[in-house]
Amino acid sequence: MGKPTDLVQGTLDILVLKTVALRPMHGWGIAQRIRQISNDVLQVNQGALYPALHRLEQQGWIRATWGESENNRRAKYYSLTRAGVRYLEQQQEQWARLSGAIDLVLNAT
Amino acid sequence: MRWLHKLSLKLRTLFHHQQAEQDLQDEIEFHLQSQTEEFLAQGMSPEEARYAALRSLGGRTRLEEQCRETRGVGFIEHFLQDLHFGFRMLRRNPGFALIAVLCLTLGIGANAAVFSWIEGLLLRPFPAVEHQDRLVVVVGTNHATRDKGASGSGYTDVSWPDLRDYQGNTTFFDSFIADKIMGTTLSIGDKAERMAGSIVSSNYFEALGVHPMLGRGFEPAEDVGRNAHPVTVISYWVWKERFHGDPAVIGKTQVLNGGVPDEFQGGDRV
Repeated sequence: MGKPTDLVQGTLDILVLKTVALRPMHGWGIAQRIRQISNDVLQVNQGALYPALHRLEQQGWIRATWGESENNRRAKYYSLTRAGVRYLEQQQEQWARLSGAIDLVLNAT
Repeated sequence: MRWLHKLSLKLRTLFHHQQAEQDLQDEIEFHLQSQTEEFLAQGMSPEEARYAALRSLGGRTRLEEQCRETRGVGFIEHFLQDLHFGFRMLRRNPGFALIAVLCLTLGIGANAAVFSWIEGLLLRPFPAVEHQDRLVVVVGTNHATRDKGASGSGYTDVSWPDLRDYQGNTTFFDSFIADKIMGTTLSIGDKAERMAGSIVSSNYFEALGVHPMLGRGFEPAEDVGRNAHPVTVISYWVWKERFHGDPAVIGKTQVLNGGVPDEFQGGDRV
């Protein structure tokens, strides 16, 4: 397996939303989780992660609460709002359409 | 409810600014510590690990600024900061502040005065009149003094028969009114007072489109002929100041010019 690659432009939001949809998570956890689930292929640029989280929070897709981390530190946990759930569904559909279309083009013979 | 959520976040940024800042610092610090621990586990020295963690964020200050920008109230925050800064500077230079305030006071005051003067004289000289742009003054000319310069006053009043002729024979104007400014003595109780007033034709208020607040204006044919009788309309100021705003003044008889009883017919706010 090669070096972890940077994310495709514009996919960070949907990855973050999907990750916090599973359970509330802090920024660090989100980055780790995305890397683990993608078998170390997807590497979240940490400089971009926090602005994205704050933007999603301001847009009302996720909400933040403070809680204790696994090693008993105070950490900011993000979870999906109800509006965020619907938004994620929309974005997932859109992504499925887009990636399906790209597959079609690439596999054309 | 999404807008409510968004609004509460913006309000929090504005009114709990310190808390929002502290949260941001704590969040990034938590990330840095977690990252540092990971690097330590990979065998780096503590300083190295911390430094590498910082580097992985790509510049902490820039990151914080990017996070702040997402709050979308930057312009309000900056405005408040400017305001604070302005106040601090004014307090530091009280002399300058005083002169600045004085200049503004004088400037605004002078402008307001000039504007109200211009408005009163040029823009809206008769605020209560309906069509003041169509108002013209007709004066008579005096042949004897006409060419004798300004001091000679070539103008004279229009006579009553002339006015009747204008009224009867001119179609160019909607109506003609007569207005002779003069003084009178208003007696209330045992007090008599000199007042400015006008003797006017009965169509005066109708032609100007001015309606008295209380009572009525003049009826047609109240000025000449068999039904003529003295009717007075007082200004709003006189009604308030001399009659204490009493609505019962309508229809009372009022003494003007010492002793000749005039029927008193109403109030008007001109």
